[in-house]
Amino acid sequence: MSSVTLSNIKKSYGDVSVIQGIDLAINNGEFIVLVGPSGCGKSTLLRMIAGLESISGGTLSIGGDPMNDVHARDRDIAMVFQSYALYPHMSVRDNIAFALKMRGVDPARIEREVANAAEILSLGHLLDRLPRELSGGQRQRVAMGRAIVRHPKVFLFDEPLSNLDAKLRVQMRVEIRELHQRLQATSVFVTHDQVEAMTMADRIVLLNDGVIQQFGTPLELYDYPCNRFVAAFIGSPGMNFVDGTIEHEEGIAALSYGDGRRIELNPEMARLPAAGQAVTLGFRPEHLQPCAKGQGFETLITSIETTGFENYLYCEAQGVRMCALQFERLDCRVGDSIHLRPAADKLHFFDQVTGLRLESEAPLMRTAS
Amino acid sequence: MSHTRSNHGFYRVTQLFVWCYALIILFPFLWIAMAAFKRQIDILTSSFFFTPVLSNFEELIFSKQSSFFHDLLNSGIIAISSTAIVVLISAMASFTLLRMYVPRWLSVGLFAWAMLFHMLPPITFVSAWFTIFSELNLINTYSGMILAHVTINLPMGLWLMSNFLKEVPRDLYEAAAIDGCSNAATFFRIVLPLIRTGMIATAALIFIFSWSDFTIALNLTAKATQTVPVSIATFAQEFEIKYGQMAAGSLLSTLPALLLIVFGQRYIVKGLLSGSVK
Ligand SMILES: Nc1ncnc2c1ncn2[C@@H]1O[C@H](COP(=O)(O)OP(=O)(O)O)[C@@H](O)[C@H]1O
Ligand SMILES: [Mg+2]
Repeated sequence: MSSVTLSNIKKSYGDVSVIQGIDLAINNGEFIVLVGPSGCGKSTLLRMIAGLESISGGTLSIGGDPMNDVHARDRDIAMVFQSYALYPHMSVRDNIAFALKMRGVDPARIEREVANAAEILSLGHLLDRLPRELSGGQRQRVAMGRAIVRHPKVFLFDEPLSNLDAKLRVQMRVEIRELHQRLQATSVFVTHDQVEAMTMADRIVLLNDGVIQQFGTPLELYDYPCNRFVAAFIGSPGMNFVDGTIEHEEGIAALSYGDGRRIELNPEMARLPAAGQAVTLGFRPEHLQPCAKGQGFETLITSIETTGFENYLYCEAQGVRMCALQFERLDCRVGDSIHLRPAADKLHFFDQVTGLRLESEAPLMRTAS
Repeated sequence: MSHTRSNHGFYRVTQLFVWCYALIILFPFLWIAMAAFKRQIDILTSSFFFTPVLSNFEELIFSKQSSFFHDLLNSGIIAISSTAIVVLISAMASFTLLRMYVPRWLSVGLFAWAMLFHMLPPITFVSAWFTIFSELNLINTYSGMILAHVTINLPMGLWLMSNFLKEVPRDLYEAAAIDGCSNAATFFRIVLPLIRTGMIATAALIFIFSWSDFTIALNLTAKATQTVPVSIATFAQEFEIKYGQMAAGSLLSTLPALLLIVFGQRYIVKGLLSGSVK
């Protein structure tokens, strides 16, 4: 176990800059999830930590020691690949034992470690099988086993759950978390799935175009997204956005959008953007609630989705599409009109040009912490 | 498999094609096989019905003038050694060229050169080799012949092995590196076991090329190291052409290839069609 520090890490392929100066301090024993859209450089960053990709600039250190020029085999890290990368010609036992054998660990200890890993991952009855005789979930466990026998300084995972079906993915998500509780090993987990990020991470690194957008706990990212990209990326269905202009009239603040429609804003809001400022207003589906006529704004229901316990209303108002989450089953149909109002204390404002969060200090909401 | 009428027609046509092809290949072979059991007089009169005799084989094997067994041994030594060397070098070379950090122009250049080299007929090299080998006292030696066969067959081996190597997923090398393998350990412990079927298929093909080579052997060997194809040809160089013994020799010389195909077929087909992993 070790801390991992990245300072101004860069990667370019020829003229193309893929990672553009990443600073990151990962604490000992922390479970970090690296999330972002496909192609944003997550794998590249992870592979630089692993030593599988050369580092174009900056310094990487693990446990305080600079690692830039250390070969992957000497970094003392373990990695679980998306494809699992099990050795097809070796039994499960040999796959798990391989790294220890290569390091010349004595056979009695190897046997103990393998038995221990097999026990933790319930692989005991599969030890003599070949990888091709296992199911996807079992292969995934073998890949985990191969990592844990090593007691490495850092665990790296590159989208290890993306080849599993939805149910198994949820199960493995929990198992990996529990394993982390037990081993307390520093881990960096890459995924493109924000749900995995939210549910698994101690802290999330949200990456886009090779730049960190935000680094924080899952709830920090959910409650105080520091720009519009983060706000849109975290949460599903995503946050609703309305572009408009702030107006202050007779002490009442409002967002004017479309052809003169207005959304009234809470007058108690500590720091409203200045009048006349062009902003993007954001609010999450669960904070958009039906209200009486005359309040909020009128919308037309274009589609309804229900999972049995959640009901999503997809609505349109003045060309702005939005989604409202209801836990009660409403008596309404597609084509009905409905009045909706975002909860006044759950609004997010972003600069229309830069996308940055406005009034970033003095947050509107405090989660119990 | 053929469900529709047109499919069925297509199936018939392809079947016909395969049978024609088989006939074209099998007929000369059958002709030789029959000649091997005929007396010279039957061969010269081209009689279709004949009483099979073993005299050709007896001549070939037991006659004092015949060196057939010795030549068979020469062929075996040269073909087995050169094949082993070609397969090992081409496996290691393709690993290096494709999976280690070799500049692209270098690997592309080498593969292109290998293909060009393979396209030239062996006879173009033979006179140069004869001169060089004479200087080095390599004429009529096993080392000389093995060296020549390795040189001529390496391009083919390189192309075949590189295709098998490409089928080993990159993740496996990376997993091996993280698990603590040096490049050599990765090659011997991970890559080699995975390209085994490919190596067997390549070996079978290279062995057959080496075994059937006539041009090089004719020019670089004499009595001591001459191989079977040369030996067979000598039956035609004296005052008469001993068709029967030529046929018997040819028939015997196909035995190793037949054995390879019977026992190695599984690997050859698997290796050539589907690659080595999966
Ligand atoms: N070997 C390479 N050569 C050139 N570009 C590459 C190479 N590997 C990755 N890239 C580029 O780097 C970017 C980030 O890739 P990657 O880290 O795999 O993304 P992610 O894992 O987030 O989906 C992509 O735009 C990809 O095209
Ligand atoms: Mg990736």
